[in-house]
Amino acid sequence: MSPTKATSGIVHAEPTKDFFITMLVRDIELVPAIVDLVDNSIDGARRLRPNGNFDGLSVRIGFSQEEFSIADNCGGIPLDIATEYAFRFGRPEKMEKTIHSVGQFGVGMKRALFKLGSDISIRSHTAKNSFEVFVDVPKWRRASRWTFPLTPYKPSRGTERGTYIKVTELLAPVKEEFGYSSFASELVETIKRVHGDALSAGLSITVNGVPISVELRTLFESEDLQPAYSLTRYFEEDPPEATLRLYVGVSESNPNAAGWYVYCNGRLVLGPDQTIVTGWGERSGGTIPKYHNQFARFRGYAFFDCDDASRLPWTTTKTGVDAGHPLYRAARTLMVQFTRPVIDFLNELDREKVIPPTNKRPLEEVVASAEANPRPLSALTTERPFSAPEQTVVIRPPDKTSIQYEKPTSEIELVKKKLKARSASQVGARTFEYFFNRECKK
Amino acid sequence: MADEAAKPASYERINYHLRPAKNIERKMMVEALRRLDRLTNLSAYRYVGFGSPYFADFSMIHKHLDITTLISIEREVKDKARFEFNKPYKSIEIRYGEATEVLPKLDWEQKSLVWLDYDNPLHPSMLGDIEGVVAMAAPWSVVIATFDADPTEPLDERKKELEARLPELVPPGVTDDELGEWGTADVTFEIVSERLKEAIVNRNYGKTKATHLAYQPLFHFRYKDGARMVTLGGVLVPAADAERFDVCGYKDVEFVSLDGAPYEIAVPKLTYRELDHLDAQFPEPDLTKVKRKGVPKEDVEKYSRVYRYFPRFVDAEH
Repeated sequence: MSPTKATSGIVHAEPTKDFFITMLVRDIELVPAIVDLVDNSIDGARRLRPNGNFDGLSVRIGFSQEEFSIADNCGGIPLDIATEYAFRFGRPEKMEKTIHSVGQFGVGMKRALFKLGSDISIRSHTAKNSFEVFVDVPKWRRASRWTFPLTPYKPSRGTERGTYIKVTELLAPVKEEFGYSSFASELVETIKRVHGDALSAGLSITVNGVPISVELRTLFESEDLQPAYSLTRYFEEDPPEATLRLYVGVSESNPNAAGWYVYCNGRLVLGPDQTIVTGWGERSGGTIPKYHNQFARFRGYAFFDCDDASRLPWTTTKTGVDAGHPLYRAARTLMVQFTRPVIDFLNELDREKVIPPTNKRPLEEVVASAEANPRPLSALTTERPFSAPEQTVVIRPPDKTSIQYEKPTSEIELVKKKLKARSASQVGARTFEYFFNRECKK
Repeated sequence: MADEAAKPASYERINYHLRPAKNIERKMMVEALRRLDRLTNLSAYRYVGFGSPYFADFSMIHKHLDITTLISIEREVKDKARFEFNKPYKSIEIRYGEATEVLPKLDWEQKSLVWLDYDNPLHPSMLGDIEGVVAMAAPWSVVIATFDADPTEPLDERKKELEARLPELVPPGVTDDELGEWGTADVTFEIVSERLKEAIVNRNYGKTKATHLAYQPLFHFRYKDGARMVTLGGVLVPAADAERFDVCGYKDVEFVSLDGAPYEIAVPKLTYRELDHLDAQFPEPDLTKVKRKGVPKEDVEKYSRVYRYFPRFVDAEH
């Protein structure tokens, strides 16, 4: 082939439809993809109720071998938003941002729907109008245009204002997962953990008709044992400011729940985390030991909040934090500082099992009595460090290991004589000491 | 007596015990820190250090800087009685535990002079300590850290050892031979300086410009009483006061390193009579005029840089 001389021109960089239909969906698992759809409903609730009281609002998720659906009464998608923005891949700059939103990349809903199946319908009924968008995925894939058809529909009387999404022609792996009885419980547990704030605010979320209960996040508190609470404000060039609330302390001993929980605008994005991301382990300059089950009572909650969601350390899948985000890096240093005293306390608590406490009151008892009074995080409003009873310093005796070995009796007798030792065990100990003193001391 | 021959000469061993370079370092630091009084009330500082039973730094800091809030972090809990007995001043409070445990529990409202005199090679947790101090310390606080930076490993295992000790932290391109002599000190300095920079960025993030802090280097000492040691430290200067910092006149102090260049504290071995003889002729900018009386020229040169801080051992620790 003869070389072609380059001339100025352009190279193509448009995305392919397959990139969205089959590639992007690999970055997220089914449960978090569905939770992403719940995020959309919650942002709707936020627009509808800026005061944050979600009483009377609901999100209903249903799934079977044939279809998946999610319905809410959170206001619906306004027509202009639908035509111009909501179905675009990526958030267009001009789109008005929802204050304090949990969605912000403009990828979650589409990715979730493509992950689920190939026949999609989205119905929206708002105060002003009603419409339906159909996506026949294989057909859309073949078409050259980047549009979905939208048709108005006449809602029946009493139709709630909200969004109703139905997906049929479920993909094979989705059908398979929906078939496991554990899937519903995994989904319920995840939503419970991730959307604790929205549930507490009164939002009702059901999965196949079963309502998800609110799980109160608490830390043990007593006069002797007080969790830490701190509030840090982060300003940037222009408003709005971001805030970080940290709550750190002890709770029930549960290795599966121990660690750090990181929230962005009330939505859990990471946790319980026991890795370097939240400061565990001494890699690259950490000061907190690697997570170990003696820290099973540790709980740390980090709440990032900002009216402008784009300033928070999200990842697009919301299944982790953007650990390189400057806000997160700044926060992580603080998280580590707050972790330390609790870890030291838990180490002391653990040590009590080996060395009986010299304190008037064993720490185990301090914890047990605080256990009776789990305080919800929302009740902790005074900034203060973690405090626990100052422990009388306990000195750990050095670890000991015994050695046993055999040598010819005649040789032992010789050494015994030299050492003026009375027994074979004295021979062993003294020969060891002889070597240690000459070779190992300094 | 073959063994005896392998050891350093006896006067060298004595020197090692009394650590003259370390003594000089302390005095230089104190002299430099005194200049901070031109900007901020020095006696309002709190000193945080590792006193060990000698408390040499505490005595100096209290006597020469009039700092009365003194906290010593001590890990050897089992010798508690001994440490308490050795406290040279009543106001020293000893907090028992590892620095890593104790530092986050201190109250950081008061501006602090912190000297993390590790005496050990750099370890990742020390970087965490330093980062924590930078995150918490009040404006005008001073952070100083000292590390053992002696390349003790066999020539071809230095890099391996360093990377095992400091995973993900050793700058790429470092080679075994570069870690010889002061090379390990240089790498230690570089790693800690990087972390300081990062810690400042993290600390300033999201704070209003007026409350930003800058790390202004002051010290980069290297010396060798026995093992090679490296010390670095600086002040957390509020951005609003950055310009006023010049009034301290640090650029005229030879051993202060505003740009991070190392200053080696070299200790000549001289007799008392030689010391007196040279002292009587100092200060003398033109060393060719000095009557040496057989003292090697380079020792005169070394001594001329440190004579004001040079310990006479009867006076060394008090």
